[in-house]
Amino acid sequence: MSRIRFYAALYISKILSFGINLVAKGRGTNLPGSIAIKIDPAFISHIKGLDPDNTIFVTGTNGKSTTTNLMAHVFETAGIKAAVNLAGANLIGGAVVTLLKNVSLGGRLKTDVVLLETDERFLPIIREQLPAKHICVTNIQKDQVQRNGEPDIIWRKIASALDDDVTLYVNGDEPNALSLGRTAGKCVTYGVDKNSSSFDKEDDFFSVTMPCPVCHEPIVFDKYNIDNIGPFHCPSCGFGAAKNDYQAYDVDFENKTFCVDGAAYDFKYSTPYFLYCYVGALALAREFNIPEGKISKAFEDFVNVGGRMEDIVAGGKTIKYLRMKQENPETVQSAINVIADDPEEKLFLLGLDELVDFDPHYTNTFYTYDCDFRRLIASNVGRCICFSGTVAYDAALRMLYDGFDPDKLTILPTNDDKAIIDELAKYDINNVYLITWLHKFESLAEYAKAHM
Amino acid sequence: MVNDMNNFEKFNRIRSDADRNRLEISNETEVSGSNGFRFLHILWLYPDVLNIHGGRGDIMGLMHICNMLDIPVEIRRWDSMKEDIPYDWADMIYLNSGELKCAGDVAKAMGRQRAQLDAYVARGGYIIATASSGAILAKYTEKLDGSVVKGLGLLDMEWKERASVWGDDIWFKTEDGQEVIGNQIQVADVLLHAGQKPLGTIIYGRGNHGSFDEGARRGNVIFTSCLGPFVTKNPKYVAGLLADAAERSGIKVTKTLADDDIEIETESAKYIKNFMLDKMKNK
Repeated sequence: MSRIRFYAALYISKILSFGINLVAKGRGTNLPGSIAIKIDPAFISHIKGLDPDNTIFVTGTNGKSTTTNLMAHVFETAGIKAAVNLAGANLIGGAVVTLLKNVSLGGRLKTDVVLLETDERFLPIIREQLPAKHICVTNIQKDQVQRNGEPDIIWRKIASALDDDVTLYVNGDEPNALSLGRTAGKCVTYGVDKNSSSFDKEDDFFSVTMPCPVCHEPIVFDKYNIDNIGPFHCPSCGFGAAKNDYQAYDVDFENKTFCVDGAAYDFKYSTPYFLYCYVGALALAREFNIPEGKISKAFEDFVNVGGRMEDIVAGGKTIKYLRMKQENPETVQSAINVIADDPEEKLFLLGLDELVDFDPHYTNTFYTYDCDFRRLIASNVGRCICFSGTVAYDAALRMLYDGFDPDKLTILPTNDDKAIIDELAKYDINNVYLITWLHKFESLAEYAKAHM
Repeated sequence: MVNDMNNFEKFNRIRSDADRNRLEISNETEVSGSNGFRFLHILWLYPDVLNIHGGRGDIMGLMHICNMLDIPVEIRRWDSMKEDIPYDWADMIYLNSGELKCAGDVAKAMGRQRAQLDAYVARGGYIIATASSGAILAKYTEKLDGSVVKGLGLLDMEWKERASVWGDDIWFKTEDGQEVIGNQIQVADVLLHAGQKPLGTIIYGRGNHGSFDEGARRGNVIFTSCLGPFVTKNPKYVAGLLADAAERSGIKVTKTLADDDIEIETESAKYIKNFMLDKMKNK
């Protein structure tokens, strides 16, 4: 009976998946999987040839898509066939769809390995069905507080999915992720030495770090490579003092190279954020015994799906877009740091917005107080335009608290694309940066394209 | 449009003169109103431990509002939970929003000098805690795993960790009729015991547990779930608290906030309130 259910689920979902792909390519990444599970709740465990020893989950707050994509490319380069959810469908339905695509009509997995980006909140549910023995946690940071609340809530969810069977790969420069090590059978750590992009927060009385996940006393970051990620230690209990298993050093952002254990690697995306993804993938690749030459070749020619920086041409100006996730201060800070590295005079568009991901929609901008705009402000900003239908004044207030010159500040309390582009056109500055959430960027890009 | 956005100059001069190695900053060079009396003493307790939801913005806001009110103020960081707390020095203790997991340790650290803490509260010293840090002031918190974490019991309330997080805007009116706005990220329901007064009555939002109560206040011990940051979003209300704390400390406060001083915050509040009104209409 259970096999009948399984095959019914398999065929119906495959047909549905095919149909959706015909009507709207790229849509329906979760639906066929959800239906398969509805028909056969134990669908995953009924797939033949699924091997937990060759199954990897990549989870965490930031960087899981890039790390997954990079690792997939490493497997491909090494000639290892992998089932991967590259489209970012990272809930249980998405995982099932990925498997569906890689399962024969006889119900057998056709790939050598399974590599799944997994939503951190759903990791326990997914692992219950598919007991992967390799789990990579990129970091556990402040994010989507409307549903995640506090990082510790996510820490507990991930920890509940781990056991002695798991080999855990964690960013050893991120205290929350590293502290998961004690909940798994084996822990492989990776990190990055301080480098030319590293920074500290010593110039500010108001700077804060974070509580040690072990003893709750303050953590001390020797340097930050990304906000709240970098070489650290807890002066109170000594947590964080151990060396990482895989450590990137001699990082050269100009020539785009770094070294690990005496081997040099090229990397295309020269920001600290990407570097952690590379070293995380390297740790996984080495533990899977992938030959060095294949790893370095894969790193060299990796092209990420949807780069982080994209451009809009509007009003005779090229707007450099830096994607951020609302309610995620680390992504905002990374975007700020990129702009701050450009010494040329610039116009800065800041588009915070009300949050509409979940009900009820609300007006959170408090996460920006976890960020520091002062280095950006000191980097020759000729004009800052804060736009938003609801929270433009809050964004402006944030800039003023970090010392922005009020005479150079424009508050535009609207989300209207035309109004934003028209305002931009008033200023004789062509070096334009935009930080906003993806939906607003897409809307502005569409408007700009239509009014070229 | 906002006309006067220049009043942040004082705050930013003070900030740029103080690096992270300083444990204390003051506005001595920026205010004229020291009047020969001492400074208002604000103790910023465990900023690295209670570090979420942009809470440090509250402390920036306290300094900025003191500048506008011409209140001479010293803000002292207190970083380690192992060190004794200078209750005798403080006039206001501020607990930023932190993770619920830290509430028990902070309560233990604050309660180690119980006699001094009680004396501080008895003389009218302020303690303000936002969001999950309110659990520090509660009697106890019941966690999802069934464990119970003791708080200081300065407010007669109990907390129950929620299985799901609630996030929304919040708008409430305090007992003296002032309106406060911000956001709420609630990881625990807050149940006030009989006789414990709330801080305010809900106009929009969930508040303590979906009833009309928001926060709690006993004397000058205050808990609010309001984030925003609470201080930067509500300068008028917080100015009242600061002025009272200053007067209690013997500092004469002669200024009040002018409309011009808080024009940008007032404009922000209009938009946010309209957003909430729309949600109320569409409910």
